[in-house]
Amino acid sequence: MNTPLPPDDHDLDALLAEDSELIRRYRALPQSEPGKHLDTAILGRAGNSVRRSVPRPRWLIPVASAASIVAAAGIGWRVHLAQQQEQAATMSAARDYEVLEIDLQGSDKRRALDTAGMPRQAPKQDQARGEAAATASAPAAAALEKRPSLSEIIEGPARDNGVVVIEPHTSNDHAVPGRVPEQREPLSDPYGSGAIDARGGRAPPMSTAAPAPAEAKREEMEELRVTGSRMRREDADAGYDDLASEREQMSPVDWIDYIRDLISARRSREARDEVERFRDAYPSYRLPPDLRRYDR
Amino acid sequence: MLAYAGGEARAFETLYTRHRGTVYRFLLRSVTRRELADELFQDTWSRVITARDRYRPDAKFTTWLLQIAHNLLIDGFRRARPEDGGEHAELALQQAENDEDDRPERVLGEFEQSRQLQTALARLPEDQRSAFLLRVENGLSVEEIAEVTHVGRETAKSRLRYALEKLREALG
Repeated sequence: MNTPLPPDDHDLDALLAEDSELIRRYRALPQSEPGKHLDTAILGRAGNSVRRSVPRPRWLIPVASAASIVAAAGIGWRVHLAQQQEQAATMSAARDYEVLEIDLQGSDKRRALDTAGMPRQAPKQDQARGEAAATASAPAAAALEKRPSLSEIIEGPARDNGVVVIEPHTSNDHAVPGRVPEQREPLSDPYGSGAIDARGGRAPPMSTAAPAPAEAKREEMEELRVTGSRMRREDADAGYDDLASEREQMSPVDWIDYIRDLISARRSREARDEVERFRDAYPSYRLPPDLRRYDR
Repeated sequence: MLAYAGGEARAFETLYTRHRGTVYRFLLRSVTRRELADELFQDTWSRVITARDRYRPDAKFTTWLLQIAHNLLIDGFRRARPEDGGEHAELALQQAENDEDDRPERVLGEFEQSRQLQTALARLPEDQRSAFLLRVENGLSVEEIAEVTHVGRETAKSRLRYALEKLREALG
């Protein structure tokens, strides 16, 4: 029945043309149409189907996906940055702590620190730094453990209810006598001390006097009493007076250099004070032109 | 169809208006019973509505639509065996309105010829009748007939040729 046509069969269009009468009869058949009820049912169903499924915009899914990815990446980046900052802070704290240890070890002078009272009086930030250094920086902590502890290093002669008595830093601390190299450094420190106290701050004033036995120096210098993080006012004033005498023992050239250092550090007020002090000490000395404008 | 898939209900109305008559007549002249044709017609369009999201414009919409109708028709034939012998076709023809010329002799002659054609169509094998209807009623090419009926081109052409020969014989 469905055998293919023989190869010599004529074209189908020609065959249909031959059957034009048949086709005409077919066209003459009643042109039946679906009933109205069918039209209503089908069109109604099509409309309901469209209303039920309101199409979402095609861009919605890609845009939402991209926004989610960007948000996730942003959160991840922020977390990463926070971790990095935390690590950096931890490492810095450990480094500071290590520097403190090294400084304390390097000094052969006796400094009295009340290590027992220190954590109670130290600011919370320093405590946190110490804890962070002890916990988060394992290598640094291990290195610290190998060293003598603070209490072992420090022989504190004066323990007085949490009051720490720190001896001044003298020229004997340094290899070259007669000239304290830290005098150049303490531009940020009016006391001119390179030492670091137990909290990481600067230690009390040092002496620039000629080399002398430590005991004699100790008698000359006033004690600076430190309670926690505060320095007593009278001792501070005394330290400042010491500073004046310290400058007076400088050579004029060194003193002028020191004033220039203050100027370059933009500490104009202190520079003026020093110029005034210089004037008092060397009234006949001619000030260099660059310092004259600081002369009151 | 793509517009309807995009949510435009009026696009469906346009499609439906364009194809409702040819699809309905293809089904009605294939099964001859109006109620069955109505059912198949409704099923055909229901499938179009349901499958609108899956529609891909790889083929003409007409071909896709008639493919759905033909598949439903084949399923209907399988359920409705044995086939009727043309009695329903004759009944449907008698029920149909005739808009032809209203002269009694002519009306009688035309009616007789239509009845004979309708009966001959009903007696054709399913595949040959489908090929004939798809060609004459729906205007499909042999290739499109082959696509709708899922056969090769030569098979579709053979079916069409046999259908034409049998109808010519039946009509004398």
